[in-house]
Amino acid sequence: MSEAAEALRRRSLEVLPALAFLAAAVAAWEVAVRALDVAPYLVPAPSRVWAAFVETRDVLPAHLRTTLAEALLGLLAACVGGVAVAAVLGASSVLRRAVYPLLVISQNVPMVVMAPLLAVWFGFGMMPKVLIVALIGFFPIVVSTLDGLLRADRDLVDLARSLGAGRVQVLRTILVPSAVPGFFAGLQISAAYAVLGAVIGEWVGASSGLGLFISRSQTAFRVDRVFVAVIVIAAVSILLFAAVHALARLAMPWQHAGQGGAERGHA
Amino acid sequence: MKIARIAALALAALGLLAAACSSEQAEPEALTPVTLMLNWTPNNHHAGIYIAQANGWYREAGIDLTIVEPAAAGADQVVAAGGADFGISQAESILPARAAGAEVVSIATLLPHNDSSMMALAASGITRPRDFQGKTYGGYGGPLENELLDRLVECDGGDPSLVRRVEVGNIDYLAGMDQGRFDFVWVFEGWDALRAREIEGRPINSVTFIDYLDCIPDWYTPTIIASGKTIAERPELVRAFLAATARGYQVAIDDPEQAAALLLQAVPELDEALVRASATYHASRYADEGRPWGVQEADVWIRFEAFLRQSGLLEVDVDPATAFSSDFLPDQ
Repeated sequence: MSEAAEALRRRSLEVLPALAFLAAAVAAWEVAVRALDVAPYLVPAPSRVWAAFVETRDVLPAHLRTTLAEALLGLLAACVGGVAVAAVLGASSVLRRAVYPLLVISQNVPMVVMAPLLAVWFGFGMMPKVLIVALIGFFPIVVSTLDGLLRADRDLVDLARSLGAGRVQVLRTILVPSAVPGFFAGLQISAAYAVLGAVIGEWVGASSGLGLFISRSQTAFRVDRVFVAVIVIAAVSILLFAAVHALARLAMPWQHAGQGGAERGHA
Repeated sequence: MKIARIAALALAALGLLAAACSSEQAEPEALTPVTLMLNWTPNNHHAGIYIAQANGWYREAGIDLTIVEPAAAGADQVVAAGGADFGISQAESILPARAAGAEVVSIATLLPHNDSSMMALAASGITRPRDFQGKTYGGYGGPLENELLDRLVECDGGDPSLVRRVEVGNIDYLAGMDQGRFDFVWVFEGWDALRAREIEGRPINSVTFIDYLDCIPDWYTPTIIASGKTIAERPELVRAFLAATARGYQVAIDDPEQAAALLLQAVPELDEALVRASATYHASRYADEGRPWGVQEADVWIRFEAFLRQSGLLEVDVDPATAFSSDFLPDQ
């Protein structure tokens, strides 16, 4: 058998326990709801949630598109802003001491408080949602990119300098490779929260999006549809997380060379 | 190498996003972008707006309308602050908003009479306000509902202090009553009570507000609001918006089936049976017989303002005449 097939087999064995556990949990949930005769407006059975999913499959894609676009744009803004701020703070220890505490404080402003304000400032289009995702995603990226930058081997930088390397060369060969793993570690955390951030933004006022779908389902007391939305949000978040993970592997082949299970360490 | 690859991926992502964004902005330039913020999830109260939107009547009037679903704090603040051009609100929040300095004006009422009721399971035995004694009211926790309960029970010869009250927020009222958490709730007759009665097939009783106008005033809910600034600076826009909207409500009055179909087309998540039943229910209720849609009476505002003030719900006097205007409705 080829090496690829062997890798695939090992991979499936790895996810098997998770899948088996999930299947067992869903089965137990279904049995419990039926056996205890729980009303569907309290806890809907998985079969009912599935039926609700089938029922709304024509409506969901448009909402998902909106939320996903907000999440991706917000993540992009968080990356650009986060890397820029990390670079500036990495270059100046004075600025670092001045700004870092503010960054920590900014992370403690609850987004449910910020969301209505952003809507008043920027209206009800995409902008406030993108900003919320960006604000949530910005901090982990700054912190871990900065951490990566500061980890760069100072002796190595000095050595390169003394051997005549220019600023750009030092940046490209030492600083960036040192910051990239941190950047991706931060981005993974941001990606995991991005969809949720967009949904919070939609809660305040929107014309489309999964948050709107949840609010419509709630006012109709359709708990089954709320569950559908929650599952979709979770699935998309996992996909986004996995995509960032794959991107990280592509960008840092040296981290993964020849060791299949290494990624579990920092995921 | 790696950097180049990341850059390429990032660029590709940017391109996709740019495409996603620009597709939203492909609007003709001549139209005025207008935002309307609803008071709640779309329902048959809003039918005329969705009908006018579906038929392109706002566009004909030069308006590119975006309908936004509700902010947590309601539309009053948003409209007063200019975050939305129009909103859907109700007299009980317009007057306090004005008292607090938020200049919102009711420019058309979606219904000429309050369609509210106190709804209970038939098994509770509640058929009139004095039956509320010894029962539990599941409410939102506002001072207005306490005042209404007091007046209703008192007026019907009961003792309001015997009514128990719990705050339940936005939970499923049928579920709450089935589980014995409370016995009656405040709902809209043409939506929630209709859902219980006709869609869920539950035997329920309702004490409709409109039957007790000797005890409590009538008031306008829901109504369309605009800010004082919009009215002063863009009266033509307000007129154009209301003309298209009134045309939509005329269809809702004349052709409930089409009204339901268009509302469902715009908001497919809604329960089809409920929307159809509600369209029929409301067709004769969007306007009084022989009266145009949207018109508000000064008397109704004066009495309701006095009621709020006397019950201590308004600490500052609000001139009722400034809270509404029928001047922007189309000529009949």
